[in-house]
Amino acid sequence: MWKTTGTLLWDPWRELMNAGSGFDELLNGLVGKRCEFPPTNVWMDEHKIEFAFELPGMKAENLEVTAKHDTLTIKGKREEEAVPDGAMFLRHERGTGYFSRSFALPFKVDSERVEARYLNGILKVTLPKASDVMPKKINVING
Amino acid sequence: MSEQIEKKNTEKNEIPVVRPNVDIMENESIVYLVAEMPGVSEKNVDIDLQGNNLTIRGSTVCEGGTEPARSEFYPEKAYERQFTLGNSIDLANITANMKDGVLRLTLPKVKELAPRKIEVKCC
Repeated sequence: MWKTTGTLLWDPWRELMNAGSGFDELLNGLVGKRCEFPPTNVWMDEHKIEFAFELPGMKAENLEVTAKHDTLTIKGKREEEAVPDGAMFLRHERGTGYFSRSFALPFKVDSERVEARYLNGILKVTLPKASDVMPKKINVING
Repeated sequence: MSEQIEKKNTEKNEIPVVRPNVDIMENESIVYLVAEMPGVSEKNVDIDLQGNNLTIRGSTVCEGGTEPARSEFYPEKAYERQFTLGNSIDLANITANMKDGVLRLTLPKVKELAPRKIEVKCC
């Protein structure tokens, strides 16, 4: 269900076009399945594509978001929690270390107007469609 | 990363309930609990202590309310996990901090009486 970062880019547009990739099915598919880090949601309309990444406990300066041509890449490092003096781990479920994930974008984006915001452990990246691929209304001149 | 889900029937809608990932550390004076609840703000977190049972809860709100075109996590969900605390925890002095979707709880242990030396004064 999930594709490897780097070599195979996930194309949300193609996925969207595939019949049977309904939301319910995706939700059911989530249960007990492993997916890449960070878990990602994508919203799309005719003006923009928006990504939300679950990235708890990050520092904004440790996140690197790049939108180049038709690819969005997110990189960062999850820091290990500071261990209190002489403490031992009883549970260690949180992940740490470097991560990188790339996505193929369905259209050319205006890289100057890309916005990235980090709030409550969620990174939101909004990529507006480039103006030259936006539909243009053409005036019909009479005569 | 897998989300362990139980569906919880609520009066309004079915909101998926997810078990947050935790780190728990312990030394001689404290137990330190760190829970990942991305999307939960400080005001949407709830810590409940009943006897020795500690329950942490949080909920996320989906802005806009539209369904994602592609989804790997629930935009709107509740987090819940319960822990049983040992008798050595000083229940009255538990402190909590919520930042960037991470809840950190410091659970101090009851300070045992330090050995005291009693001086015998002679008159």
